[in-house]
Amino acid sequence: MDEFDSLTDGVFFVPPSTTGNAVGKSKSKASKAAVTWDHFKLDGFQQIKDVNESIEAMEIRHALFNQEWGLMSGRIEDVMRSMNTVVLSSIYDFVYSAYSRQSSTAAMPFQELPTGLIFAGINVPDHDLLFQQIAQTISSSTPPSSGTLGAEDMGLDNSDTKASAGSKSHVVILQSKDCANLKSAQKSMIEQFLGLGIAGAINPLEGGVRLQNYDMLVLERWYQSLCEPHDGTGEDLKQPTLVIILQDFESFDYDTLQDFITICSNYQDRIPFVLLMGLATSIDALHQGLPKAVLSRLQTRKFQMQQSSECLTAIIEDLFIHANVGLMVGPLPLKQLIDQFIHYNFSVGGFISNLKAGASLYYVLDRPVSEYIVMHHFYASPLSILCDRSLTAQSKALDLLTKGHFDHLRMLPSFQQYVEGKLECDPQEAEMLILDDEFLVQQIPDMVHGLLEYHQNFGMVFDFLWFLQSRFSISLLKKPKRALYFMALEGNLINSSHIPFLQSLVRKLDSNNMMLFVEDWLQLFKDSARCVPKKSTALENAMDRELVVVQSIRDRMAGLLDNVSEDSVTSSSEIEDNGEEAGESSKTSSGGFVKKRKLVSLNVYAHETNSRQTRIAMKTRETARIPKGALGAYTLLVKEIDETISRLFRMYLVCHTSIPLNEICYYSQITIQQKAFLPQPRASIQTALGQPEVYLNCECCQPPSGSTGQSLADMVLPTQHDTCILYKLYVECGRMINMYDWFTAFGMILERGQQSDGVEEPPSKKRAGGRGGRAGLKAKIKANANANKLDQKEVQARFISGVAELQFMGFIKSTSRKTDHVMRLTWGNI
Amino acid sequence: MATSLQQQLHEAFPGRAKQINQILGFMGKPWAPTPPSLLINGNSSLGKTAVVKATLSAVLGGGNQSESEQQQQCRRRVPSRYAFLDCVECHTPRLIFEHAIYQLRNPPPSKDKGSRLHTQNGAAAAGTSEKNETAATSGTRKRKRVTYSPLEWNKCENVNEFVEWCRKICDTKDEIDEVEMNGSERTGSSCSKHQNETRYLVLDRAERLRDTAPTLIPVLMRLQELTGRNICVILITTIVWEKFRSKTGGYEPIVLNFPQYTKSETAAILKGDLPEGEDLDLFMRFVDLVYDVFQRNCKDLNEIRHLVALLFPLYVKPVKEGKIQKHEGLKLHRHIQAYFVEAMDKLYLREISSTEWSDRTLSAASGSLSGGSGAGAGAGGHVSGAPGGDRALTTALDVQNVFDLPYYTKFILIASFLASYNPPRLDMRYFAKVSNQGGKMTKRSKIAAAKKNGHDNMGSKLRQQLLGPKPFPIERMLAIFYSILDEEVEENVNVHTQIASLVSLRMLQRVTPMDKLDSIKCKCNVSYEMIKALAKSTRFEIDKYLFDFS
Repeated sequence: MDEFDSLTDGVFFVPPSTTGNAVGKSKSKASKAAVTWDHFKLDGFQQIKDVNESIEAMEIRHALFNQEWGLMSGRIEDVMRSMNTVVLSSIYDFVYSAYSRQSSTAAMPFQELPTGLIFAGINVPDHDLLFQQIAQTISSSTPPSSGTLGAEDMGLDNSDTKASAGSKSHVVILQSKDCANLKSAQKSMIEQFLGLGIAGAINPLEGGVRLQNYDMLVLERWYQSLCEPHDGTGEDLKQPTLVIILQDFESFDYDTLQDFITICSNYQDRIPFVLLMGLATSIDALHQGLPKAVLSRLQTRKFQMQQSSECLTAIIEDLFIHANVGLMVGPLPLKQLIDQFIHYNFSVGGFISNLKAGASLYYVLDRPVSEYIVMHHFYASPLSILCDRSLTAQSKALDLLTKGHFDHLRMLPSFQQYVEGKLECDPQEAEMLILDDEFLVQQIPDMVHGLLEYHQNFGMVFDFLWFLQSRFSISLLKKPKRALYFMALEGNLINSSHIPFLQSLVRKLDSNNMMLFVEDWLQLFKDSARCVPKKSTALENAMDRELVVVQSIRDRMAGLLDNVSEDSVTSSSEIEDNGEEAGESSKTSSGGFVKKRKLVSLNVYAHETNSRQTRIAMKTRETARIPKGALGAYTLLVKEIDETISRLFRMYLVCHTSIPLNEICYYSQITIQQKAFLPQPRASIQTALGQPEVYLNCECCQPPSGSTGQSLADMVLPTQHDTCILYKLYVECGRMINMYDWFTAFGMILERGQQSDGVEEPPSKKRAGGRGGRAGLKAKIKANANANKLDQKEVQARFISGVAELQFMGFIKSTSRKTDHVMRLTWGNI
Repeated sequence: MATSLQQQLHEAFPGRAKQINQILGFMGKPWAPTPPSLLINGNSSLGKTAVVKATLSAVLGGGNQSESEQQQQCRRRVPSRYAFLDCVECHTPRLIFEHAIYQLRNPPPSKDKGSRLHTQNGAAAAGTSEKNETAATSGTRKRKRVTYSPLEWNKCENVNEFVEWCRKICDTKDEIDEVEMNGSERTGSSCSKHQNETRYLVLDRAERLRDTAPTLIPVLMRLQELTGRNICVILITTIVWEKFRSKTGGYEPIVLNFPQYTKSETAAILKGDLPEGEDLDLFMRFVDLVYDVFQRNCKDLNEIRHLVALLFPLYVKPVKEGKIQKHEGLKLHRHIQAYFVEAMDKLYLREISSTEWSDRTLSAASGSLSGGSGAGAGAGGHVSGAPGGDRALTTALDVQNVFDLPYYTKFILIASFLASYNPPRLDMRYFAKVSNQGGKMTKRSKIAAAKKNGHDNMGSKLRQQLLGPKPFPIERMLAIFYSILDEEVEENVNVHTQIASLVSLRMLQRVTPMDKLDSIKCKCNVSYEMIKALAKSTRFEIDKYLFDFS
């Protein structure tokens, strides 16, 4: 510990070492070979000791982590971009037409500065990315297209539109931190426009004047040189527009902004400026911030960015519902992620970094093991190989499994569940699974594939659920996608009242709408990628089977309705409520295939009679349902549809916990995440000062044997660190603290410790383990000092250093109100 | 020539004849001595800047209005006789000096789009044609000026240097002329008479000068005396000279006031805005109407022009559609009335910009057209229907723009509102978690009773609602926050980051300086309406917790 005994350094970096005692349970010899491995190259991945992990296995884990995160972040970016495509392209149009439009209409008596107001949501830190996207969009010479443009397309487009390259906009982003005053705002703008940062690049004027870097003349000059046709292509070239993005409007100094806008609008006749302002709140901010003289120079247009909560839903949908990534997030962590989002910050960026850290925690801190392994039985989260979707029986990963891995695997709840299920139908296999490692290895890829299939089917049926919900416009039961997904994760979606309610709505559809519904349903299934005919695997067949079922329902339905319209049966006198009839006739009439023909579709009927009937007559028909006689077949069909729907949900929306080995993919640790992302500074500080032993792990601070009733936190022990002793005394004080009293009390406590030292072991060593060097140093001095009598000077020195620390941390401050007193600042008796 | 020039200016600026004459009178002949300084004041949008600019450019060149070809060429070559500076842009003395010197040493811009005079359309065309003519030689000329110019200088940082420069500029003009005479040997004699011509230094928005440097105004007032040359400083400002006066020793400028436009003058100005192909009578009637309706709230000429431009298409729409005859003034008035009300609400705010407005009216027009043809609705129905649709449009936009806050952040904001408007002594009563609800109620009714006895029905005069938000310590707000939240929330970093972000959104206002870290105090900076909306969205009964509020 001596290397930490520095008087000048406050913080020490201790890289984890393989021989460190933090991890150490069973240390194998094999791991010793790994001491040489480069800690930083692998981002801090460590071998997991309790399963005798090999280095290769660890490397696989590392590679998988990188691959997964790369995939995730790529998808997230895509989602974000596609969310805003519409707005982006309208902003693009706005910027491009800003000046051409004016010359064409010229309705206004004076020139206004085209200004786009971008309402981007209240989470300001997220805006960086957004505005960079906007800037990119505008400065590119092609409008954003709805699809993601490949790099080659971009290149092609550029060459195509080279003719119009002259109209390229120049974009700068100004942030309030660069614009403390007018000078710096102008300077920052000009520097960005000219693309320099090199002050020397500013050309002196003709007369040899060296202009200052915030002089608008510089910009004007530059712009003129920009506009001069280089190759004499003619004057019809559109002049480039200069776009200024004010990213965080609310944080700007309004006086500065006012002047800045005035200047821009003054120069507008020479330089075509377009302003884009990012507003986090509402348009009131604009009206409050700028006077009318400035406002009347603006020609505003509003752009509403996508709500961040919708972005979040889209990300969750893309990543998890459709399982485009290997790693899933379990219900608890997901809830916490979403809660934090909704309750606190609306920050998609925060969500993402949380996710990433979540992902990396999963891999790093949890110390998950690469092949089907679990580590800490406490953190029963198996993982990463399973996350590899291309896992086959030949994978190298499987060879790297050790005995420890298998043990962990067998300890998984879902695995046990699976084996128990097997026990009933196939006891022999169950036994093999438990006893035979080889057999287990063979089974693993199948199980992983089962998991994968489950995800795909889940995603598709979930889509169907969403389709069902959006079909009925009853706002009461609308649930956002992420809420539905969350229910599914927790496993109570199937049993919720939501699904039966939707089903009852389906049953109540009239025949025509039912037909439409079935058609759409079929289309939905056909469109989804999972039903595209592929090479046969077990579960894909399952989904194809569903498709066949739906198809047959549709065909029969269509046949039924066609017949009816041809027949034009007019037995519309017997009218009853559909719902009731459905109940009755489903029991009675079972196989009436003939009766189908008599079925009357209300709308078809209404159409035919349209010409003959009066309006009122039509209205009565509208309430008409299917004639009793023809009801049977139709009802049967409806019943079949109903059953199919509920079977779909029941089969494919089951909770993930029932799938074997789901722990491999689902991350469900919450405590670590909480610790890292919901820090509680007050609690930590209170613990650190009140119960330092929690952090120091020292043995010295045991409660004296006599006082068992008292908790450790309430006692002041002389063995504790000086600052802790002072803090505990501080807590007992009122608003003003008398320094001398404090000092005396401190001295007495030290004295007490000194007296007991005679009997017990000296406290010095323990303190040295704790708060770094100073205590240790002092302890040494103390040890050398007179054993019985405490040196008064030393007590004072320690007192002063402790008080200084408290002051540095903001607990006290000096006051002139009372001599020899300090003011208590924190956690007073409110 | 002078009279025709005057005439033109008078035509361009209706109602400003007297002021133009005065300015021209002060200027006199090009080389005549002028008053050292001139202060032009008047309210905003009374044409001060435009008149001065137009007059100077007409008389001294740059506008190229009526000169012959030869004179134009000559003018183009000599440096400008005036410099026009905006004091918002030139916010430091150095910027003022350098821009002034730069402008005085270079020819005036040939084409002045900025002033946007109605009469300058022709001039612009003349400028371009002439540009083509001189394009061939301008390159060589430019180079010559750079190489031969004796005025090699780097910067002008203070008043002394500026005075020196002014002298140099006035003197060295001859040399430039000589250089040019040697170079071209065409217009020698005509140029030499510019020797002692007056230079004008125009400072727009001169009220800003008071902030840039304390000594600047006195110096500018005596610039003529200090340089000993013929220089006239013109200040244009919206405030009176009295506010400029610093301690002692300043010269008084000649003050020239621009009065408010009268109604007929306004109408005359707006006459120039007549859209192409529209009926003048109808337009003027509409201008009259707008002036009468809005003049009580808005004297600003620009705003009125803006309104006219926005509303006129709507006004003539029924006429064009043939629903209302041109002469049926009353009907037209009824038709436009609803739009007026809406415009009055949003006066000055520019909430709906001109582009959005025109887009909307276009779409509304097409919509009503199709609707009108389909249903055959009468004119009366249309009149009441169209504005209703417009309203709906605006409210839809507004609803969309209502921004959302995270759940706890809403409560933080509500808590700070309560902390700002409730007296701290009542915190115990409102927010202490009393076990029995009944006791809480009686206490509150006691307060109500006390309120009744102590004050009249309107509440006390000193209630916080009327006094505005009071600063509160963050700790108090947090205590209220935890008290009004139903669920248990652990204190964590997020709460504090949200407070910080509210401050950066200007919903909370920090009253203690940023470098003071302990005992931070804030004020709540949002309106009661907004808090009410927030409370409603979180189902929090804000009224139960507010003291003496209505």
